Amino acid sequence: MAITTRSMKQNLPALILAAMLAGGWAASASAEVVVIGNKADSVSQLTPEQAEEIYLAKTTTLPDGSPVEVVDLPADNSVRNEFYQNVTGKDASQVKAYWAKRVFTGQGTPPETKPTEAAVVQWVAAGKGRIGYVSPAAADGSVKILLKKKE
Amino acid sequence: MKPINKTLSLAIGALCGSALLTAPAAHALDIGAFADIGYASSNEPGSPDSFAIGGLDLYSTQKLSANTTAFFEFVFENNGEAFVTDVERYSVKHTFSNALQLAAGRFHAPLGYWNSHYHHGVLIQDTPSRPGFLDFEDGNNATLPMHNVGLTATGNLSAISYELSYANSSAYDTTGGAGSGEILVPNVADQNNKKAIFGHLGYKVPGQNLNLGLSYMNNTLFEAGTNAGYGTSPGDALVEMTVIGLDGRYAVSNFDALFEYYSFDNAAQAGVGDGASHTASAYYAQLGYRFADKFKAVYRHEAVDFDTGASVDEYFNILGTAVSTTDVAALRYDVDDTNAVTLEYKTYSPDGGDSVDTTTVNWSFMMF
Repeated sequence: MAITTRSMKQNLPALILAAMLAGGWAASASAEVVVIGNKADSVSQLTPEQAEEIYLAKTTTLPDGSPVEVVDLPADNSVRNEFYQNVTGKDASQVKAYWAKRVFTGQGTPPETKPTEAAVVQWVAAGKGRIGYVSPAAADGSVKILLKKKE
Repeated sequence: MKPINKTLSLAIGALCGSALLTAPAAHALDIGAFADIGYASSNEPGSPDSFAIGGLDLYSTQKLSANTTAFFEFVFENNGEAFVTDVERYSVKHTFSNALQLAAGRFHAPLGYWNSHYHHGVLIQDTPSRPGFLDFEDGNNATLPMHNVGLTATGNLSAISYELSYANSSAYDTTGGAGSGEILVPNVADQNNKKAIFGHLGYKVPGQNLNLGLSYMNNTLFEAGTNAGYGTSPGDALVEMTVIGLDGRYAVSNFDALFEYYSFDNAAQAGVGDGASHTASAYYAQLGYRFADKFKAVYRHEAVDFDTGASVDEYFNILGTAVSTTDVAALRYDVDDTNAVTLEYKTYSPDGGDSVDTTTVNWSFMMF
């Protein structure tokens, strides 16, 4: 179907919006986050649902029943926001509200944070039952990848 | 609850001040808040339609060391004449394992579901009002001590959770007669050496969104004033209560159901009323249905029943409670995760008295 100059002008705002959305989606699609675990653990992979349950403290164990500990990156870290958006469907503000309610009702406290992805990898590698998330490039041979999430 | 003294007010101020002055480091205090604002219209004589600001609830928690955390919660609320500060929760907890955590301080009493899950956050509960018999100690229909001060052990063992408390007993100043005071939870000086025991056992049915619970309380209500009719003075026992409760919550898809039932065995001490034991009961059942994502319709029925007349249950007589039923219908709109607007219609029907109908619009929110 031919698109006239007039119709393009009329639809310009919609086209710009579509382009912005597509660009945002592409940027999102290009970002990756991996969930990493300790190499000594028997669990070899997690589903996004399992990762969500662990990170939102709805369970305190890995799928094999062993205790799990998790760690976060700082609140302003883009990898953290990507992780929560992809795995839990919550943005940074929603995650903060979730934990505020959990703390208030005595149902737990949010995970501790590590300042850098390297610190997360080092922490996960240092103990059994530890889980973290980093960008793929940061996950070295000292840990194993349990979930590779790409939207 | 009584207003805390100026010293404690200054301490709170200092706490908040230090939080603001402290650089954002690992030990900075993060303070969250819950609050609500409402408008209520009632047919109760002498009760004009009113706007009302609810309690401003400030709370914070901090990890003191690897396995030790501290928590506090203060509420600035209207006591009918002025805004006062109430210490609601104030505790330090050590975690030995998932199966055992020991804590000391002031807590919400581990009775049933509502009191353990919703606390003072109106935003968190489905209706602006609590079930009447679960009102906080200074509430119009307060029936049970909703807080305690003492030691608490909690833990989870697979699908089972438990909470046990050994705490100060509650008290009541009966000097002014029935219903003139409020249930007192001694923060710093118990009225007597006899302590209260609270317990709750929870069970989450595997594979189901069904939680069941069993509560227990043995608590003696002590005299905090003097009463010539009873012949009591501070520290004398008024009524020994043994309460057993059942609670359950079931959620599936957009539907949820919640209930709590309590059975009371209230043994009045010699000289207090008829000095006899009486049994009583209180319960509520609530149904909720979420629709169009942000809306939730809720209906709740409540009832309190006890012996009246010549051989009245002296515990309820002291509190000034009436045998009653209450029906609550509410429509809640969640603006987002942080605030909600709820329209509530409540009919309180005391036995032998006129019903009181109250319509409330409430806007609840949280800051974090």
